[in-house]
Parts: sequence; structure tokens; C-alpha cells
Amino acid sequence: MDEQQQGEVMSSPEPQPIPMPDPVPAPPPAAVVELLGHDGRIVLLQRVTRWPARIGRSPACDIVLDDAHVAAEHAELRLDADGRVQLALLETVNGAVIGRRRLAQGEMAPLPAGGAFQIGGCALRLRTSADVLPAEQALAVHPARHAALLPALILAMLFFQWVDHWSASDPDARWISYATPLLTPLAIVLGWAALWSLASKLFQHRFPFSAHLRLVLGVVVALQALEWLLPGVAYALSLPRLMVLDSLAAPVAGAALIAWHARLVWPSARRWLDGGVAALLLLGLGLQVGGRQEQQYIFGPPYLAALPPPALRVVTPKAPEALIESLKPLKAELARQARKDNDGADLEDVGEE
Amino acid sequence: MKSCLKSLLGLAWAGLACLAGAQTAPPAAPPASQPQAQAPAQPNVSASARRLYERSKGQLLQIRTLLKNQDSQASVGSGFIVSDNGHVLTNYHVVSQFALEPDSYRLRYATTDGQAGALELLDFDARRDLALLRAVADDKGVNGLQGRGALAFRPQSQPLGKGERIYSMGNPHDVAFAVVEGNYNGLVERSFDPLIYYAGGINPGMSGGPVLDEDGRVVGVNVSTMLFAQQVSFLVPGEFAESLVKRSLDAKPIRSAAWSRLRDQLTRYQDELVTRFLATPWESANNERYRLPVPRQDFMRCWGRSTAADAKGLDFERSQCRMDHALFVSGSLQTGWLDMSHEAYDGSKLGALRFSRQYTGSFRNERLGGADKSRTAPYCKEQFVGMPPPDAGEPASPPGGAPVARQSRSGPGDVLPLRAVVCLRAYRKLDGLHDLSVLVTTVDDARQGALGRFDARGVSFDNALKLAAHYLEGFAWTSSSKAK
Repeated sequence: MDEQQQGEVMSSPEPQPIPMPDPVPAPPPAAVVELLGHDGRIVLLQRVTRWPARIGRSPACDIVLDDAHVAAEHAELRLDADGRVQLALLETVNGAVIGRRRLAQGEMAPLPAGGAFQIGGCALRLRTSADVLPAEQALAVHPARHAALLPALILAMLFFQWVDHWSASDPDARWISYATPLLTPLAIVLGWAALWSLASKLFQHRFPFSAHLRLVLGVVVALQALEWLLPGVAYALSLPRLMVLDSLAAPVAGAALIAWHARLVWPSARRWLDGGVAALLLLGLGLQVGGRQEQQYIFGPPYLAALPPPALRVVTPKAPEALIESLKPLKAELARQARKDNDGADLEDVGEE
Repeated sequence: MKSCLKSLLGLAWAGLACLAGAQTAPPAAPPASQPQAQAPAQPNVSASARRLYERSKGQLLQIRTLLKNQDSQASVGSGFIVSDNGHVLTNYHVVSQFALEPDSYRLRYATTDGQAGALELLDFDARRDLALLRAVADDKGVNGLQGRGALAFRPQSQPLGKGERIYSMGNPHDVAFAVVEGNYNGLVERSFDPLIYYAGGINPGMSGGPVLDEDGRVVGVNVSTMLFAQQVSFLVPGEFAESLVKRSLDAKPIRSAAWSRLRDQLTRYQDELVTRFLATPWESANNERYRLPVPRQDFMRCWGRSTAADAKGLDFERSQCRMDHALFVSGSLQTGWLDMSHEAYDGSKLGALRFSRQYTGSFRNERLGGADKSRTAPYCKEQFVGMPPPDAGEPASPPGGAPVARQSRSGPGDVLPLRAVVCLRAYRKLDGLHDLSVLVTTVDDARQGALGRFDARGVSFDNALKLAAHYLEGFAWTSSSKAK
């Protein structure tokens, strides 16, 4: 290698003086060599302090690589007269790769745009001040939440679970019976947030557990509140169809929750994710519409079963005749429904009697 | 209590369930065992089961419903010859498959001596579960059942006495023709239509077979048994069979699906049932706070149940009243009955929120059924309804109760508020008939309430509305609660 180097030096005694006076017109560009990890992210960055810059395992090199497949002095980055950077290989077994081209000991080739090359097992990239820099990316800053929000949401969820279990049990229920209804949802919510955080870790290299937990808790608590609120309002105003919201709330909130989680994990694919989740939601609702064509109502229960304390009732009761009167339009509607599957039978009946 | 009800229902329906079984022909023939004998048995002839069977086996038949294009039997029952021209009587439920799908099934008979031939359906009476058939002449013009004699009916002027021995005949489970001894026990009490209570074993396959007195005359037709009971069986009284025979002896055979005939019969039946039901006033349920509707037990049977006195949760009293007999339409549909129940809840041990939760749960649990082959899905309307006090004083009210009621009737606070849901399902093939379900809850107190349910199967739309209004009228304050 030394010989070769010498040979090169010897062979270019005349060009050598040229770079020396040259700095005056064009100073060499500032440059860094980046060592890339397997996922494409930069693991190590070393500044090029002089040209040519020598790359190798030896501490004497300008760019030091810790890789057993790299020679002590493996290659050299040289600035040619045109300002282009050439990779010249010194004494090495493994050579180097530029693009698809494999370079052996003693060969030399210019670096492509982007400056990527490989030495031994190291993926490297040369970036100079002559390269165009991408614009600064906006940082996805999540506004700071109040520190009490998360504990408050957890308490709210546990409270709703407790009321739910308390009101459904007899006065002699033992405290231990509350353990399962309180702890199981908590465990599920924590586990759910942890799984999404793991996904974030995988793709974002962060573990935003509290952000995911906030999302799922917010949705769960909202659904729980709705579950108490809607029947109460529907009862107070005698608006049974309000319960449609109740039956739509769970699928819509579920879809929104998944979209929000996914947005944290893959922020760049937001548009695709939103579209995909919305399509799935519509598909599910569409299937329900198709499956309940025979029912009076596609969404919501057949009747309002809620019986909250009578003090909630706002509307005044009507005369029973009003209810009976309101049934009359059902006659035609039922007759139409009854005929739906009955066409063949009607024909058979013709001529009878 | 629930289980009691179930078994009771089961009984009536069990009978129906045996529609698929074969029935044996009863002995009705005159003294001689020759086929042509037709006169009623003579009183002084020995009346043992063996003698009766010998005498009437010529008129006893198995009725088989076969698939149209192959010889597999879809169901079997029994029947008996009622005229010299080969008319045959059996249960409607034995031939219902043919009556409703004549394109898929055909009817054949088999005699005790192994003869067989085709049958045609002349008429049926779905309310009494009877059908009249006639043997079809074969290619040579020979009617195989002609001249075999006929069983005679015991005249109504000679009613049977309780405990009299009677003999049921049929072909249980297609095993073999059989004669079963049992006793006449009068009519089933609290039944809308008369039904003979027969203490003897009837099995599926015997449906449609005759039941004979000691003289070989027909007193009834096997129809059903009570499930999970021993020797509790039911017979259609012979008079209905006799009148069907008289009415339709010359009827034209039914060749197309008989839905409209069935619908007309069921429509007439429900008119009579609803008219009679609406004419009876409500009884008191003896609840302190509410007057809850309970029917007079003319043709419904009521059962009650309540929570144990030491229960720590919700206290309730439950009452259920229903008709035990339904009309058979097809293997998947029975109709023509009323059923009502209520539960009175006392949540004073629970507090308002807990009571509301459990009351809601109970209300939500009510099943209304979904769309099926026979009926549409339920279509409902619901509303808060205020029930004024009943016109007259409560039956149980003290003498001073009536004036109080009249006074307070004008006040708005005197109305008993209810949440009422009325649902209707329409029958797909029985045009104009509906199932009605009315759910009613009282909504006047945070710690007590009553939940009532009324069901009517197979009623016209107008009758359904009348029944719903009638049921709602059964709810009011009691006089004593009004006085408070």
C-alpha cells in the first residue's frame, strides 16, 4: 500500500503543488462522513478536517471505523480538480462498494450524488456543504398537558366502573367483588396503551406511553359518561330514538381511537390511516344496515328500556288514546313488511275458496 | 312457577307435538266385526278393549303424509272412517303439511289389515284441530274405504259421567295399531274451547284417532297430552267432529295451499276470543299502591311467585296468567292465545339509583322476538302515558273510596304515569293477523314500581289496538294510595 501510495505520489509530483496554491480561489467544502445503522439512521458522524481524508481502523486515520472487515488504512477520500470527491482504495482485502459497483484494492471512483458508499460492513455517507440540504422539518410538538389529566382520567374511569358495579349489586355485596370489575378494565387499558407504545417504539424510537394512555382513557371515559347520560336524556324528553347515538358511539369512538393511536405511530401516513379506518367503519356500519333491513330500526334498541328515577322526567304523560292512535300507521308498514317474503305464497293462495 | 307454566304449556303443546305420530282407528262399528256394520254398538255387548278393537278395527286408519315424489313419510297420525263413502276424520295438525304445501306432500291411509290408498282433504277446522278427508278412487274407480262401515258419534243427549271407561285408538309412533284404556274426566277447566280431560296415555302418532265409549261410539278425538305428566291427555269432544262431518261431507277437495281458509278461521276465532276477553272486567292484584291488571280466570290460569322474605336486594311479586291451549298452524307456528304477567317491585332496601338500575335491567330483558319465516320483526311505539283513576271505585276499596277517587280525578297529579311500549308483528301468510306485545312500567316512584306485559297471538290489527287499550286501562292508583 505504501508502495502504491508512494507510486501515486511519485507519479504526480507535478499536480501536487497545484492543490496547495489552489485554496485561494476555492476553499475545500466542509464535509462530514456519516456511519449509518441498519435502519438507515445515523449512528456516528465524523467531520472531515482535511483533504484527502483517510478512512480505516487505525487511530491515525481521519475517519476511524470500528469494524473488523476494514483495513487499518482502507481508503482515501480525495477532492479532484473539479471539486468532485473520489474514493481511492488503499491496501485492502474487502474493497468497497459504490452503488452497485465493487471496487478492489487500488481502484478509484467518484462518489455518486448523495455520497453513499460502503466499506467493509459499514454503510457510509459523505455529506458536504456543497450538497443541497432538505428544509427544516417542523417538530411534532405535543402541547404540554396538565399533569393531573392522566390521574383524573384514570380516577374517572374507575369511578364509572365502581358506580356501574355498585348500582347493579345488592346492598350485601362484599368489597372484594369490586376487584374484578375495577381492575380488569384498568389492566386492559394499560395493556392497550403499552402495545401501541411498543408500536411507536418500533417505528418512532420513542415510547409515548402517556400519550397513548391519555387517548384510550379519554375515549373510554367519554363512552362511559355517554352511557349514563344518553338514556337519562332520552327518558327525560321521551326521545327513544336518541339511543341511536348510543349504538353508534361505540363503533365510531373505537374507530377514532385507532386512528388517533395510528397517527402517533405513523405520523407521515396520517391521510392513509384516516381513510382506511373510516372505510372499515363504514363497511361495518354498512353490514349492519344490510343485516337489519327487516327491523323497524337499523340502529338502536327496539324500545327505550331506561327507567331512571322519575324525577328526571320532563315531559308530561299523554292520554293512553294518543299512544293507541300513534300505532295506527304501523298497520300499513307491517303489511308491507309481511308481504316482502310472501309474494310466492300469495300466488299459491289464488283460487283457494 | 315459571317451570309450572312451562310444563302446563308443554302439555297442551305436547299434544300438538304428537301431530307427527300415527293414530289408530277406534272401534265404532256395530256389534258385528264385519266392515259394513255402521250402527252404534249395542249396549249389552261385552265392552272389553279387545272386543271394541275387534269391532272397530275396520274403521281405524293410519294417516300418512308422504313427500310428493317419494315414499318417505314426513309425518304419521291416525284417523277413522265416518261415512260409507270413505270419509275420514283426523286432526288438522296431522295433515297440516299437506294443507299448507300441497305441492310438496300427499296423503295416504293404511288400514289395520294392510290396505292402503290415497286421500284428499275436504275441509278442516283449525280451531278444533280437526280435518275431514276422503279416500280417492284408484285407477279402476274403486274407493278402498267405501263400504267398510263408519264409526258413529255418541249423541250429545247422553253425556258421559266422570270416571267412565273410554278407549283411545291409534298407531303410536308408527309402532302398531293400539287400543288404550282410560277414563273420561270431564272437560278441562278454564279452557276457552272445550277439551276432554282423558286419563290415559296418548302418544305421538295417535293424534286423530277415535276415542270410543263402551258401546263403540265416538266420544272424542285424540289430540294432545300434557308434557312431563302421566296419563294426562286431551281429546276434542266428538260433537265438533260430528258437525265438521255434517258441514263438509260434500265439500270440494282442497288442492292449493289453504292459507286463506286458515286465515278466515283464525280471524273468526280471534274475534270471538277478543270479544269475550274484553267483556270481562279486570280483577285486583291486591297490590297496595297500584291497581294492576289481572284477568278473571275464566279461560286463563294464573301462577304467582315472590322473593324470599329475607332477601337483601330487590323484593318482587310476580304473577303470570295465560291460556294453556294454543291453535296449531304449522310445525313452526302456534297462535291464538293470550298471556299476561306482571312483577311488582319494592326497592326500599336498595335506594333510588340501585333500584333504577335493576328496574331498568328487568325492563330491558323483555324479549319481543325477531323476524322469522312466519312473522315480521316487531314494530313498536312507546310513550309516557297517564292513567286516570278507574271510573268506579276499586273492588277492594273501602266505602269511602269512591268519592275520593272522583274528587281527585280532575287533579293532574292524580294520574298514574306509565312508560308504555306497544309492539306488533304481522303474520306473513295469515294476512291481517298480528302478534301483540304491550310492556308497561310505572314511573311514579324512585324506589318501587311494577312491570306488566301482555301478549296476544294471532289477533287482527283493530283487536290488537283494543286489547292494548284495555290492558292499559288495567293500570291505576289504588284508592288507598290516591287517598295519600
